[in-house]
Amino acid sequence: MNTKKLKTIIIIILLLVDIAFGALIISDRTAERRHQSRTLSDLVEVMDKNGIAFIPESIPEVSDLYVLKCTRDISSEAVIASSLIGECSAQDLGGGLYSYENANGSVRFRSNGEFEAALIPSRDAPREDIVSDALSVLDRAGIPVNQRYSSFENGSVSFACTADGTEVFGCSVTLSYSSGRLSSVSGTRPTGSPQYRTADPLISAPTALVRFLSLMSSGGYICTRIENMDICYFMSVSTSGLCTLSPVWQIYTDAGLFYINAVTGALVSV
Amino acid sequence: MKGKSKRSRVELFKTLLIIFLVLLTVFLIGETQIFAQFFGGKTFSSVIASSGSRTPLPLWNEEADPYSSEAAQPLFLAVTGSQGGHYGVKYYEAELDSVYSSAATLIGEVIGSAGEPVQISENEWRASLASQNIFVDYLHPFPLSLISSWFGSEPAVSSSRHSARKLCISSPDGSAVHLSYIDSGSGLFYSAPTSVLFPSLAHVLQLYQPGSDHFAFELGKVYSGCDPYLLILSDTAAPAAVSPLSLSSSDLDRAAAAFSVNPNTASHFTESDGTRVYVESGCSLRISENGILTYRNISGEGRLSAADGAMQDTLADVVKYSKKLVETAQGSSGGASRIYLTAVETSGKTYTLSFGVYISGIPLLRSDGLTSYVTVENGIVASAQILLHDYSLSEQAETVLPEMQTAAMTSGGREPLLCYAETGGSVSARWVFQ
Repeated sequence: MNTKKLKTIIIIILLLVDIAFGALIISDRTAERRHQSRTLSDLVEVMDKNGIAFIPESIPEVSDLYVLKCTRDISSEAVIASSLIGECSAQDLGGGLYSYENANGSVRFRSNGEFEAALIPSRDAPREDIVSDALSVLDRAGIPVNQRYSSFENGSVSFACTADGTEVFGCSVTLSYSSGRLSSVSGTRPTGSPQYRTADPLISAPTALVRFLSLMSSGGYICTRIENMDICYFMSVSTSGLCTLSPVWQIYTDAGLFYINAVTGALVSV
Repeated sequence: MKGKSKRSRVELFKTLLIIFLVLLTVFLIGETQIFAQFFGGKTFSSVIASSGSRTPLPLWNEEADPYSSEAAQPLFLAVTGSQGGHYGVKYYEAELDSVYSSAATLIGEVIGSAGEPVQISENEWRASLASQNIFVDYLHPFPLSLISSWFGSEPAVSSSRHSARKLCISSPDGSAVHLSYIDSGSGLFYSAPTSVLFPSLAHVLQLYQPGSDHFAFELGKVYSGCDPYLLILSDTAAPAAVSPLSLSSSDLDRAAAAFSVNPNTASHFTESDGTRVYVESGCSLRISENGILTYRNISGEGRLSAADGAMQDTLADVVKYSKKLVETAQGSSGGASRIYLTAVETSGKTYTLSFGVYISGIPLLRSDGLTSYVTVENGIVASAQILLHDYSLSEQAETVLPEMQTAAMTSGGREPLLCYAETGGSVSARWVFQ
């Protein structure tokens, strides 16, 4: 058999194989969608039986998240301080308190990720676009945040902090401007970049919702509507300084926001 | 010539098509469940997507966690805001945990940043308790240097000599934050300035409404018979009924494994009362059927030593290692107890550490007076006794006298303490006076 014919045969075989795999994938995806839709309808039914309307049109899939661990990164604090007030050196006050100070202002860090900077307003021209200036300040400081602000009023703009691209509940940074000039920065951030992860598998959104139902009835909470659900990180810092970022399911209801630990299924009190 | 060139272009196209189809086949295989089975349920595209967006991180090793938590937590806490009125918490674990978690960072900052302590009068101590403050009572005195190490820092040189059970983080003038305490060695009162700013204290204080609890000295003559700095709650929750969990053979095996004795391979003999005895490399380990583990290192070259890198010979390291040893031996059988350090005895490089059992924030006392302890000599565990029992809480509540009445009946400057008393295998809540 010559090479030309052999190539033609190989092309035909490969085409047939690709068509077969394509059909298999389409069948898998269809089954998956059908499964999701059945899960959603079952969930809506369960919720309905418990007097709760389930509004979301789809159930979020488990994101590729893990419980993350990190230790306090003093060098990242020095970067934040120098980006805000210029050249400065750390003063260890004991008890996990670090202070940076110079003629441009002062910055103080706590072991639980809280920090506060009081700045002497510069003589530069006032900023017209506070939001973009705030984002560039945070970028220079190396604080990863959600690019969309969470609140913006009276010259203060707040951004939610992120870890590995996912929002961290309770961690946000507020930048306050006085006459268009940055006057203070404060907030809470993860104490360092994630260094380790655990191998704990996450519970799926339907499991979290069923868990939520059981917690509702055992805790005596009343809610009639689930409006949305999402996943984010929840930060906790141990007394010895180990920072843990745990994935939590955020469940938005008409009775408020509830958090279910996405590993243990426990209700997170905030 | 033209036809040859056309044919060679067709052949080139075929070759390229084959390459494309091979790549497409590989991609399609990656998208099927066949591929996903080998990659934790992820398809090729999701593996590529996740590897691009997230940093690959090493797995966390819980066993090698150098950031273990404190060896003891406060058993009594009181928060007093600007409006006065102490909000006290005792004998209620969930509430203790909640208040402690909101105040722990502050407590660590205050102890760690405290400057040189100066002696103060008892009236000044009382004034601290009356001002905006957080009162912390560990029930047992500990060296301040040890408490500080649980928060990852060291106190000032002078205060590190002191031991304290009762601490008060206060700001009488609403600006500077001070650490005041009663030195348990001398009984004298001390106060030290700290680097903590008032807003950090105010942030914790504003979380709690003014309460109606009191210190005994605030209540007048009726309560003059008890310790003046006893925190008396106006209303205490009834303690839940408790029962000991029975020990299984696997619990005893786990306890042996905590001392590096493999119960499946190590030779042992059983005494007439059912006590298992293991003798290995100059160490003896006895585990009785009623859950008392006794370890003796006869040779002085133990398996549980600084040599494995797990333990240095500072007090903080020895405490951390010993508590982990006790917890590992006791294990977690789904019970409700917690183990806290209760006493530290130091003699040169020999430390004897006692550990107590707490159930829902209430200490457990045994009628035979036995407690768990670990003795460490020159970085080696020389002896240990560990009570292996765990306990479960029931839905039923026990009836005990309210604390107000009990405190009123107390005499001789003693302190009424609610505890679970274990006698002959049964546990009941009662007041003891110490």
